[in-house]
Amino acid sequence: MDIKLLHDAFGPQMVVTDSASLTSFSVDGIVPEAVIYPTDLGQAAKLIKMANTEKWAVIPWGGGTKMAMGNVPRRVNLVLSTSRLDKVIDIDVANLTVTAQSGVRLGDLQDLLVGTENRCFFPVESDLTKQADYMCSGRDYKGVFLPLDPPFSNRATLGGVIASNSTGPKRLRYGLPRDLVLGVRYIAPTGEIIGMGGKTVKNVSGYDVSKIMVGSLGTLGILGDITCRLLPLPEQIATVLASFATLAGATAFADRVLSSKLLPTSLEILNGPGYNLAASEDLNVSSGGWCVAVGVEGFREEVKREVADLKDMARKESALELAELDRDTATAFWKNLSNFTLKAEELGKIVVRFKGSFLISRYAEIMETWTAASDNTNCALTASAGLGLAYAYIIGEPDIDLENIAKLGAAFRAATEQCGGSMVAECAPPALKQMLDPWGSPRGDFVLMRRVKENVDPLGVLNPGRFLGGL
Amino acid sequence: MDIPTYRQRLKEVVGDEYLLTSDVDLMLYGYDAYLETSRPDAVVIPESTEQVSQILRLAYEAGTPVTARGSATSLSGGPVPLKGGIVIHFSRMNRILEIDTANKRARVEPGVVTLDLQTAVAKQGLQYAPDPASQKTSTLGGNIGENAGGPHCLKYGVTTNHVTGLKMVLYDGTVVEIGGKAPDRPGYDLTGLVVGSEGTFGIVTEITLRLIEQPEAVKTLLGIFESIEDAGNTVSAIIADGIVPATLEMMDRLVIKAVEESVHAGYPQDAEAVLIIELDGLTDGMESLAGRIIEICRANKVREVKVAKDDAERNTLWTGRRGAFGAVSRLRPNYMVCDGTVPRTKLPEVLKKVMEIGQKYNLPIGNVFHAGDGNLHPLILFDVRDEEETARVKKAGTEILRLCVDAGGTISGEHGIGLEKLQEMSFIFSSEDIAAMWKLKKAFDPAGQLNPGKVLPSLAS
Repeated sequence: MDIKLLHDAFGPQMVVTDSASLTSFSVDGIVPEAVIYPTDLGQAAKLIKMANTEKWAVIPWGGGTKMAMGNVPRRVNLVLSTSRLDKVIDIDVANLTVTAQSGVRLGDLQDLLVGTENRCFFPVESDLTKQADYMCSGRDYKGVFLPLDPPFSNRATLGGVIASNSTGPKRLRYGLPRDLVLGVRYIAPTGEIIGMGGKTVKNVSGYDVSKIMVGSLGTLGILGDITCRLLPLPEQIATVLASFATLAGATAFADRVLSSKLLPTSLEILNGPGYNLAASEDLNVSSGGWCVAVGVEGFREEVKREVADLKDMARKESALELAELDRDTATAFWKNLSNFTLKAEELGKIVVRFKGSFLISRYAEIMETWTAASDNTNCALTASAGLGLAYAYIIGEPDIDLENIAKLGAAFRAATEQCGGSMVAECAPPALKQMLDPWGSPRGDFVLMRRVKENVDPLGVLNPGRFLGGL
Repeated sequence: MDIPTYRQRLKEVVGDEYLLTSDVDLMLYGYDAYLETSRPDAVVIPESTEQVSQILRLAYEAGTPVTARGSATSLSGGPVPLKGGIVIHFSRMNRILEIDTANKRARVEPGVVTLDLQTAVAKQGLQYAPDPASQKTSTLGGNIGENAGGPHCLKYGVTTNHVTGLKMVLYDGTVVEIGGKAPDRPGYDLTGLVVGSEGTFGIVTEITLRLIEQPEAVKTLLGIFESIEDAGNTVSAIIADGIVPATLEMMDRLVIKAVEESVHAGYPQDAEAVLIIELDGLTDGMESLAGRIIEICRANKVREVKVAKDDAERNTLWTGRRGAFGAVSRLRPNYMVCDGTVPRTKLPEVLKKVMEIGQKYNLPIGNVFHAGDGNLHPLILFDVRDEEETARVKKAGTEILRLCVDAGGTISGEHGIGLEKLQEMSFIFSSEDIAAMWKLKKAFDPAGQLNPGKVLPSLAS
């Protein structure tokens, strides 16, 4: 690839080619030939047009927290970093929407939203009664939030979270990125800047292209601006933790919660190693024990009732220990939980993360079979009850026996497929990907996915090979 | 393949009884609730995915268009077979295949009437949240084709947020399953793309829907206002107070009057606007939340707030809202609904301009709409037999949509583009945006045989 072309087109400021930087942007061990930092969508579009002419493979890169996801790319020429596409374009608190560029870090965006002034608006004046002032709500708490809590919120970018359809425990109440994204502006793989959707919640003008962009891992376009729904910050937040001697006890409690009228924000079941990785000291959970964490959010009276009911239900299912976390401690607990592989990654350990998705009623069975399969491994397991999701984390030294992990992954996958679902290796070293397909086998609808990819990216410029079935 | 030949072969697929070809039948299956009509060459009423697959295979060989049809309550011309060909009517594929309470999913055929599913799942203590006003008639197949909305979408999202999987017959008869009962299947979110594609991507023969628990408590309030502005400000103030109710529905004077004359929902006829505010969730805190809302209404000069005391009173309030279109249709021979969406805070301003457009074209306009979502539905009343008036209606409609776009909104909130709004697509999309959508369309339907002439304007224009 001819670096001079890039220098001529974008100037040296925007193009990085020193070997230390390039190594830090390697994808599954493949070092790119250049990293480019566009500062607006026009530049990104120009680069992609050039990539089409020159047949370069371009890898989009946000916060870098999902770069171990997917197949080893077929080709890597350029990494396109979105880190300078970092502007928040519009926070419309009265209409509960935010528009931001893809490179904005989710944590920064949330901080900005939380601090947004008490929600005021201009009343519309009738001709008879002219008013000139803002009207403000008299409520005693303020702020809005984007109801997404994926892992590594502080480092992950909005674009990366959307492109990888990354979710966290609060999905139980607030839904998926696909439910929150109202519109996107993206660079098509052929270099056009395309706008889809808008900033209204209801919108059936044209095809709902935003939906297919969510979770497409940058294979159908590079996200530029993203508009999402917001929610008012809840008046009260609390979390109830309960520990159980057995998995049966934990799932009996979770089932009780799910069949009640309560509306928990999150309902996570953790095995002993999982709980201990979250580094919470609120309970003692033995390595054979289980913890159930239930998050609730809402108006004060609702939360009070929910906490009381939850404690009552946990006692009825013979919980060993119970803890109630208030707003601050609960927030810290969930943050730790979603970042709990961070420390290991920083220490240079190998982190493997498997995600199973299956029929929501089968989570107890999944936990049981996964626990049995991982008997000899110090494997942290979590399940999102009510969502049909489970995660397994294996943390080891660089010389860890990957063949064993591949076997374990295959066993997890078989169990998940038994329960009507699929399993994805969301984080895995490249060598493991040679032994275990990170996505699993495609199904009958793959014929459509392939035609979609071929129609929008005929030359295979964006993230070639990384997605399902080598798309 | 000529028409008599493929008619004969269709007969072999569905049987004599379920192939309709008489002039009257062809006329009856050529219209919806929009103004324009067309005529198919054949109407088939299949009973299985297998039959639909054979029909599509045949249509592909014959090179003839295929248009799917539910109850044809579409307001944008979705089911109108613009280029003739075969209409597939789903009245026989109307089975609820499964209500899976453990996994909170329902599997249905596309011909199931929305309300029938809602009634069936309610018996199990669950609910299917999307509630288009036409739910008594509309089918779930039609709902997913148009990505239908409804009052409760304010809190629960529109149809697409509740669809997890589809079985779909492709243009050449291939049957594929996309999405499913389990979440997060690896690969592209084809389900999300197909919902709202107005039958132009494939013919859906089975739908998997997400069910949720019924709320513990529901409270319905009716705010009666002396001006549209006050009602609009109340909507903004409720949201500003951190409350997202289940619904925030508004009606203006013309509609209130029509509703009272037809269904007697208990709205005062001299009010300028009424607001239906519904809360749902846990019992705890609901009383004080309702108190806060009443306070907000008062701060915005409400005349009176009525609180429904029981289910019967609640149903009466809703009967008025759901019957609004029907009630208005008694005033003049025809009405046209404009379905634009604006950011909620722009509503009062946009409504004012809508009324000015009505005056400009000398047309009565009533308003009944999803205020919380900023989704307005001006109903323009007219007589279709008066060609000059009808021409004015279309002009006014386009102007209203332009107004919505200028206010930061869009040209369709929940009724679709169909053939009604092809021209207006250029208000919000560049030719490159449209070309990008065509690429997706061609991935699903390379021959362009599925509901041709809908959603996307041709690239040349």
